[in-house]
Amino acid sequence: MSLVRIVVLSVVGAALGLWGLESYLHYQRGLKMAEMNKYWANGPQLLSLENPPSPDSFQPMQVISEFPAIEEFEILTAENSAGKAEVVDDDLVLGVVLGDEIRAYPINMMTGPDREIFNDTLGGQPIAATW
Amino acid sequence: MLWEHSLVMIDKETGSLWSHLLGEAMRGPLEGEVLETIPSVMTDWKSWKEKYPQSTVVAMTRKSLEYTKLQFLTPTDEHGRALLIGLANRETSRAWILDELKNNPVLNDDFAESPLVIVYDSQNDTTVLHGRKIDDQVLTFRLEKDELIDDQTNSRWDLLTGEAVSGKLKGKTLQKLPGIISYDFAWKNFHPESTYWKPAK
Repeated sequence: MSLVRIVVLSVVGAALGLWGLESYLHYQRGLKMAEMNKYWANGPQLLSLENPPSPDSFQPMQVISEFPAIEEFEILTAENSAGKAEVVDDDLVLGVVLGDEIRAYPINMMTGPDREIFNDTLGGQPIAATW
Repeated sequence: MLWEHSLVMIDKETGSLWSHLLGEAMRGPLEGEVLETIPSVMTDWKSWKEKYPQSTVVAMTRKSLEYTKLQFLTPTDEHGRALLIGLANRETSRAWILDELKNNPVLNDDFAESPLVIVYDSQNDTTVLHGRKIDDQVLTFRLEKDELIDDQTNSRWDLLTGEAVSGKLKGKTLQKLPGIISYDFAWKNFHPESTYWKPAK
């Protein structure tokens, strides 16, 4: 009986905990949104012909923390990619021909906030692939 | 970091902040430096590997189920955002709206005094920019039965790779140009001085 009670309490406790965490995150998001709205309301002058993009008009905003540079990742030949779940025929890619090397960068793989840029070397040239 | 709704990149060597769309360092030790834009083609993996069977491909975990061919069949979405392909140097820029290329799949145009051709392939909804000068000869292109042909030598060219597949210029390859696919509002923001190709009324 007491075991059942402990299990029930634990479940309720966990649910409350999760709810609390969820509310906290929601609250944090709210703060961030309020900050962003304030920023956009008073803040940056929108770019235009009169205010063209330049270091003077540069007003970046930190929305999420920095992510480490991505310098190592798996590369397959077209032949070896057949049947793999990662790359399918309909995937949009950025295709690059550089020197004697040819590589496709699937766009879906560069769309996470933690993964926007691939630092790569192609045809002996250092390049960053990004979308 | 975001600037004007666009990604800000940071290099780990100097910590400079770079505009994603401009490729220019806006703040930090490298301020004012501009990265070279490497020509790339946005197409689907099937079309790319058919033309370049020796191609390699990055294979990390997927980040999204979107970004497939299907998504780009309507280059202007329900919010009225239109996709375009743009070219820019430090002085000037020019852009072509993808929707308008559907009825004008081969455009002989110029950018910064360089003759170029914009080719829209309806088979795979792929737009490619090629230079149209071979050995100092400027070529003018037309589309005939889905084939790209130049008026001067009647050679036939592959739409995607820009390589002459038959005719007098067989084996020659047109120069790929560093076009960038972007939404029109973002392009307008970052290139307020840009000109746009418009179809004749």
